Amino acid sequence: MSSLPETNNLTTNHEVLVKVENLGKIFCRDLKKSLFYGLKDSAKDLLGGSRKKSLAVNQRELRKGEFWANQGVSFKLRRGECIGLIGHNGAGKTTLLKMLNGLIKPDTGRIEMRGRVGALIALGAGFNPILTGRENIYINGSVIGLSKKQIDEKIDDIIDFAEIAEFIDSPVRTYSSGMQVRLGFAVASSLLPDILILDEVLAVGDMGFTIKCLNRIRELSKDSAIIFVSHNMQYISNFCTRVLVMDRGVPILDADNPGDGINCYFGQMEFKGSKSGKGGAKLESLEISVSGAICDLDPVIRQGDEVEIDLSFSISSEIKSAVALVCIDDESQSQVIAYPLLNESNESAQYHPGTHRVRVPLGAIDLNAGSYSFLVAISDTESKTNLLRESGVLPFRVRADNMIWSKIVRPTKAIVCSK
Amino acid sequence: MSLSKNTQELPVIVYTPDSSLAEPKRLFREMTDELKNSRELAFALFSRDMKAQVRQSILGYAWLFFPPIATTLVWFFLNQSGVVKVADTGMPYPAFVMIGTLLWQAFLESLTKPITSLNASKGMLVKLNFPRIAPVLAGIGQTTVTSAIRLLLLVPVFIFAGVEASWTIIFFPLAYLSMVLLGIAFGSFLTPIGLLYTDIARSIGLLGQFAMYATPVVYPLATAGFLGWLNRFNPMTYLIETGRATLVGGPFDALPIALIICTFAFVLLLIGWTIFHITVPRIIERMGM
Repeated sequence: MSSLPETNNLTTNHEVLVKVENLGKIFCRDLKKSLFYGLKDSAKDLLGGSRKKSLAVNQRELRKGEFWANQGVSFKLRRGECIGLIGHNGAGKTTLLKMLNGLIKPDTGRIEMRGRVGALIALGAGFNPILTGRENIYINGSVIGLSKKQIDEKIDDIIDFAEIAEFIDSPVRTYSSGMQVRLGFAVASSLLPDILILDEVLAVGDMGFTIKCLNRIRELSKDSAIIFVSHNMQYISNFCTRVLVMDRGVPILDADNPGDGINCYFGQMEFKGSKSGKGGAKLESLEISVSGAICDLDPVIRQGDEVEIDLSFSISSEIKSAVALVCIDDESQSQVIAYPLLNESNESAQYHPGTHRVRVPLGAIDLNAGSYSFLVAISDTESKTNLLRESGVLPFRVRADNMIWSKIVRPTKAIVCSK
Repeated sequence: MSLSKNTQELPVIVYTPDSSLAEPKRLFREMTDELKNSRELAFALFSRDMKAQVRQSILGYAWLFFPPIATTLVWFFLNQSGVVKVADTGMPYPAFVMIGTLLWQAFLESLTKPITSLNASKGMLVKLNFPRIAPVLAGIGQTTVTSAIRLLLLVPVFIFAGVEASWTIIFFPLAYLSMVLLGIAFGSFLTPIGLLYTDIARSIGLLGQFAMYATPVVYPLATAGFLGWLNRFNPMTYLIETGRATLVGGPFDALPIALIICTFAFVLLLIGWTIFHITVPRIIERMGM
């Protein structure tokens, strides 16, 4: 799979391959009703497009139990572009992909797909566990639209890419799940599509193979229009030229700059604050200021900005003395950085009963783009028991134009020693 | 990899909410194109199913022969022992039952095959876009081939029972195919609903038994009474009678009506196919829930 044909035909490089206009899809929550509606819709179709006006009207009454899984989605995609579809679970990304892939019919609007469509959605769907890997390559290949001759030509590349040469004549059910996915990816990506649909396929397999897949996709992407769904913002930032952010079936942002889209996605993140501890300490307030200016709700910090927090808390009278710690949590609420508070002589600061207000310079924020929140922990100096642990405080976002595969990004000068 | 990409003429696919019935010409082209394009895939699926069905079995294809042998034996003994009294069949009873059973099974299997093969490939249907007719074709192919292989049973049975075959036996494959045709024609109508509701497959399983006794499968054509009335209005009667007649050289009383039924079945199949093509996207959408 190393030598992709170079078709650098500049005149055709920028043609619009995907055109989506005001797309909408209705789903039904109730299975029985859904089946019945399916029957009714089929009957309506058979009695001849009584919904012919759908394009003009673009409105449909919801029947009982129905909801819009997708509504008002429009975009155009050209060859060489890669659009990232992001949004939280239930945002309608998969529904949109299914419509683009022709698996389900839209309820409003129109889709125009120009060229050969390849989908890396269900890797290895249709594998028969009893048959051998080789037999399954032929079946899977014909399912995605390759002729037997084309598969004959590609089969060695496919086996090579999947790294399963020694098992290729064993039944697929003896394969590990990783091997099945590798084989599935190898077959699916052997098609050279004009439009490529990718849905979270990279979430499986080990890192080595993931990188291999990414490289393969990058190869394919030179010459196709790609629609890419992922929850991994690093992938999105790496691959996409544009980002469409979805929320509850509705597109909320079509960003030409992936950084904006990713920032918007992180902005949708909801932090569940939690409070625990024995009691005896209370967080009064926490404010964040960037380069000297206090930020109100929903602060957005540019990567590299100098940040200071203004923290105030109180210790109740039965506590002799306490120490405090501020952490920054990422979106999965795991701690990224801890700032133990020190006094002027660089020892652990002791806080006695009463209300305290301190300013803590956090320095330049070199966190990767994402959404974060603070955690404040106060514990008794002597017994070390936790008096207060409050997380999810003052959620904020860090934005950057590029995302890098790390938690912390610190561009560093390299000093030339010798040429 | 040497698939040169033709960038000048890209195929365009358009998806809209409209029924494809709105443009009959395009619908017809779509259907014939789909049929053409799915041949290779259908064959791949067909051979997959044929291979997979025997790979985990010691007796392999021999299993195809056991059900009709069992049915024949049961009826042979019931008749022999006098538990059931079957009127004169005009040929040795085992051969009579065997022919009837084989033809009936071919019909019943082709009736349910579209539903079962689509249900079996549900996992692929809801996730991959490929010609939806392909698993149906593969299933029909499988039924046709397996029930044709079963027909080989007739050779030993005829020899054993001492039945003399007539030259008209050359028309028997046609009679057999007419059973398959009628099965598929009815089946294509049931498929859309049958995919949504399991009731259809269940009722076929249950009603199939009644239908068999309403057809002269294990007994000769009844002329009087309730059974006679049932036989008369049952299209299967004419096909089975004609099928038997081709083997032994007559009588061909049922042939004219059988031909009319086949013509009807063919028209029905075309309509059923159209219905299938139009409704299947809606159905698969609901299957995927």
